[in-house]
Amino acid sequence: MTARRLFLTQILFGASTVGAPKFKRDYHRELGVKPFINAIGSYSSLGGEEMWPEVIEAMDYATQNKADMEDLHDAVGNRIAELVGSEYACVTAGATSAIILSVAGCMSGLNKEILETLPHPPVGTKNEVILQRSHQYLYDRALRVPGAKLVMVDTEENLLNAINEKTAMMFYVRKMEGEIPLEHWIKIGKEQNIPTLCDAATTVPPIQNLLDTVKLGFDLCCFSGGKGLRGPYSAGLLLGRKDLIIAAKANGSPNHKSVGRAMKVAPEEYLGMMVAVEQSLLHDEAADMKDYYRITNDMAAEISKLDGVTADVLTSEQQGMEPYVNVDWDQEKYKISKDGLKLALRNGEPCIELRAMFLSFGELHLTGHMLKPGEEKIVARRVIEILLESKVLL
Amino acid sequence: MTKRRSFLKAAAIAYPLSQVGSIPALAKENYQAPTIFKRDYFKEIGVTAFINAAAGYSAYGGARMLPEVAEAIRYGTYNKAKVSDLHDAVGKRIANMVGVEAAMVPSGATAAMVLGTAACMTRGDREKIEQLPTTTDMPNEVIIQKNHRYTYDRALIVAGAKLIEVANEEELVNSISPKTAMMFWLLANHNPAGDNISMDRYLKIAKENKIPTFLDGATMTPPASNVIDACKLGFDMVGFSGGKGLRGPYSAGLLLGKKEFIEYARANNSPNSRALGRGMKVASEEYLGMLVALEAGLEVDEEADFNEKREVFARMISEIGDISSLKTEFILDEGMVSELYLDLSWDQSVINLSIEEFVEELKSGTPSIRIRMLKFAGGRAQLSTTVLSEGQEITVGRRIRDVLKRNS
Repeated sequence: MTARRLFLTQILFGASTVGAPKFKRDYHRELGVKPFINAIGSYSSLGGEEMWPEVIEAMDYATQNKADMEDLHDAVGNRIAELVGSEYACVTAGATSAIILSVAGCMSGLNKEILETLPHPPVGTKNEVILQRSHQYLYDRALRVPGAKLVMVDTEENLLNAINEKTAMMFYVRKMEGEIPLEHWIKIGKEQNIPTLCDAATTVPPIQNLLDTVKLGFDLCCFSGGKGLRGPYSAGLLLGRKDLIIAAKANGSPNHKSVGRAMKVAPEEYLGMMVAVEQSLLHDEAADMKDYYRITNDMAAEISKLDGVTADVLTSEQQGMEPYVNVDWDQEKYKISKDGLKLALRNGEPCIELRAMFLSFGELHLTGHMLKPGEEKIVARRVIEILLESKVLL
Repeated sequence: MTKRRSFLKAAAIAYPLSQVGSIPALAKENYQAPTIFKRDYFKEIGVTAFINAAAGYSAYGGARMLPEVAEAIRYGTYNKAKVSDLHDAVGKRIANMVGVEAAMVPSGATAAMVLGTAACMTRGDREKIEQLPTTTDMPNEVIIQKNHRYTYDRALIVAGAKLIEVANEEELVNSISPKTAMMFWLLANHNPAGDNISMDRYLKIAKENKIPTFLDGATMTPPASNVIDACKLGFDMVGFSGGKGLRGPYSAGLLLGKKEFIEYARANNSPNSRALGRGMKVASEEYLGMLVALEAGLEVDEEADFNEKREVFARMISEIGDISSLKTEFILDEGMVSELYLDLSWDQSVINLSIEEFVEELKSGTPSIRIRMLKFAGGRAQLSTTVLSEGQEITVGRRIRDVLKRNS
């Protein structure tokens, strides 16, 4: 290891212990699991967001203090509903689980025969979920898990024609483009008496987006708990109409005979999710955002010093308006593809992950909010170093 | 029963009150004083906390995790790793400990069944994985013995399979076809109906016909060593619950077995975005917690553990004191699973209280106490030490004394 590399390693390990308690055992080292710098974001596959310390305290509390699960579910549901201004709430095993349970609930209501037979319910069960073709994405997969069929529409006319006695739900993805405006989607749902679900999983932070989404008029909306809300990794929120949430819950754990029994939510996750919502509402997000801008601006300033390389700080609605650095370069000057840079960062020392491929439509994005103090310098240096190694010498 | 278990018989013998004082003190590593928290969350939101002297039932919030499991969970919340790296590493470590080819941590024993079935139907085929729970163009039949039907076989149809019930060997052989995806076996401590087909024959027929087999051992702990024993029986996949007898995280379990099938199962699970099991998320900290729970469980000295439980009960009995017609008796769940319970019974003409009234009085009193009530033989009142915190046995003993005295 060169002197420079050693220095970088020291920064990395020095920085990663800031704020974290000491542990008797280093499990990741024992297991040979490699640490990495997260310049990609709070994705599930990378372990999600760091929880608020208050959430961890609440989870400890719930592992030591026992209560009836039903009492706990109801009390936490009421408390979260009160905090966010919805009629009712429940904690699910994640946003995907919230979608699955919502669809199942809209198919079953409280009909025992359907509850016990999903995903293959008796003939005649409502089993169609309508969505705009442009709202098809990675997670529409969840809609089919309890046995529903997807019905795609492009226009309002299509939508009205698609609605029939088999329609269980109208599904909408927040912040996605589509020909049918959100207000019309909600209005038609109400007029036709079809429950509407809004998937807003990735729209927090800011927490204001959650509060705004709840007010839009959808019957149900769902959020991921382990990302922007900084709650437990395998938890999410389902908010909205009480009757529909009760039907959704009837399809979940701890009900033995339900399609969603396997999507268990621990009591500590239930309580932890409540505290995550509390903390998110108390937190100064503007200060966070300022910090993210400082971090991304610093990275962009360093990287854009290279001749023929651009590093622009941008934002997008889908990513909760968080800033990111879009890195691009003149392919004539640097003989490395975008995929090449991604892999070089991943396989280098230290390992760095950035947003690429389908998550950024072929672009390379560096994000700031999962970086620990000082890591932005390492990320910028590694990008510069890899680009310089591939520079065409004139 | 092996020689190892011979002490269990002794542990189960009714313990005379006169000898309570003579039980030796033991290390209390499994039995900790409660932590004082800054906030009392349950009180804030109006949830009645209770002393759980019943056992680690799901509806009561599961087992009490060991301190080292809680520590591993905290570690996992502060230290992030790539989920697939962690899954690989923990899976390998658990597999080595148990002596199987591969292992994974699903979100519970039900999830293990859902994923095991999905694995056998899809066998790594991406298109089939995407299609579930639509299973028209793949093997989608799961064979189950008539006497193995139970509440949780519901999980076998979640991924889109159909159940084929067989009552004897002939029916089993006749039901096997290219549509057969899996053969299921329920391992139970007490199945009064018995098996329709012996395990040996069942496994032999499965092997001859190249049908993968799944064993559900969800409730077959403690002791944790049963995980190792169950994996030796010869099934391709074995599922366990994590949050009960193994004292791991509430929403975690184990799926163990042949490497091929564990890989197929993982392909149907979170974090894969387009998998049927994406909703059954398992946090990294639950992965680590499950590993440490199993490690700790396999190291438990069963005899010392039993003696410790008896000691806790003895202190409780001592608080209850001498009450006319009250009988206290240790009950041992016999079979592969061994758990110690304290059974209370009395002459209802001396103490004017039914078992149901007794359970209800303990529940509605302050502090609220839950014990388990068995419905057979006109009802039995039983207590377990597994979820108690240090000192709670004294509170429980005093409350029992009060309730019984008041009705004497």
